[in-house]
Amino acid sequence: MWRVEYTKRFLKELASLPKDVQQRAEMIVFRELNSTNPFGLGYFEKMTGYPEKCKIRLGDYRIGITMDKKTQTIICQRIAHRRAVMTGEGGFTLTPNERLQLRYYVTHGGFLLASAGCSDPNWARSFRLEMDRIFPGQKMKVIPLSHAIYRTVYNIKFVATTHDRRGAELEGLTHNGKIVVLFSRDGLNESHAKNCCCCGGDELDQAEYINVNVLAYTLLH
Amino acid sequence: MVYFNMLEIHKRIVVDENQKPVAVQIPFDEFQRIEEVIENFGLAKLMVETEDDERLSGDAAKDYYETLKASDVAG
Repeated sequence: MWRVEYTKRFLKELASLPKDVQQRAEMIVFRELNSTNPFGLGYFEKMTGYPEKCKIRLGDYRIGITMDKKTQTIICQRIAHRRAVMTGEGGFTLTPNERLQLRYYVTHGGFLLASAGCSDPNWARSFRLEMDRIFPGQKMKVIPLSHAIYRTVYNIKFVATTHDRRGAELEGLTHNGKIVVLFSRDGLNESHAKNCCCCGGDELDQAEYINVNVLAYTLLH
Repeated sequence: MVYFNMLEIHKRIVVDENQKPVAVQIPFDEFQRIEEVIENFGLAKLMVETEDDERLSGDAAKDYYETLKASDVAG
């Protein structure tokens, strides 16, 4: 019979999850994986290119597992969240509960990528106000072009808007030394479609490259 | 040894009025495969970081976990 082990890091990450996900994860890793035939549960998904490693999908979370065949041990190594994106147009406010949830999310392993649709100044203003309410005393800071986020996949040497070519900046909020909120007052949704954008907005050029870099960066850090 | 099969990507390049490439469109299923490769790469890297981490099992794991949960709630 296979034995189940947990890294201390895994247990810490599990203890920090939102309650609903945590309960589902606990059921799987403490009970179901310890059953007589854990491989019959249909949870394990092989990670192509990584022998003995597999993952379990749990909503937007992934549990990273190593199968040590020699010792017949299932090792729960990490549990990590995928990413959240916020965009829109016009002013908005979050409810107190939404603020609490968002703060909990980004301070417990989550990552938020936010940009104003069509570079809408009202949306950007609202987002800044909400960040001030959620993280009082903390300010988003401009991320310098020397930061790894500009080099993780593509080498981005400048950031500018599509039409006016005016210089633009990405801003970030850090927690425990890691960027957890990345914000652009200019849209990161530029599709370059003909006659776009519908509102004539001046979004960020190279948005697709920036998004790829952000995705890769958040997966690696 | 870690290896990857080459991923065939059917891309359509969008150009501006000066024929300068400005964007790439790819089929959704190919996007999902790329996303999967990136996700696995990132997850595997996170896992490698814990290769030397202390491991617990059975009651020792549950006791440690309950302590963490209690301190997280308190914090």
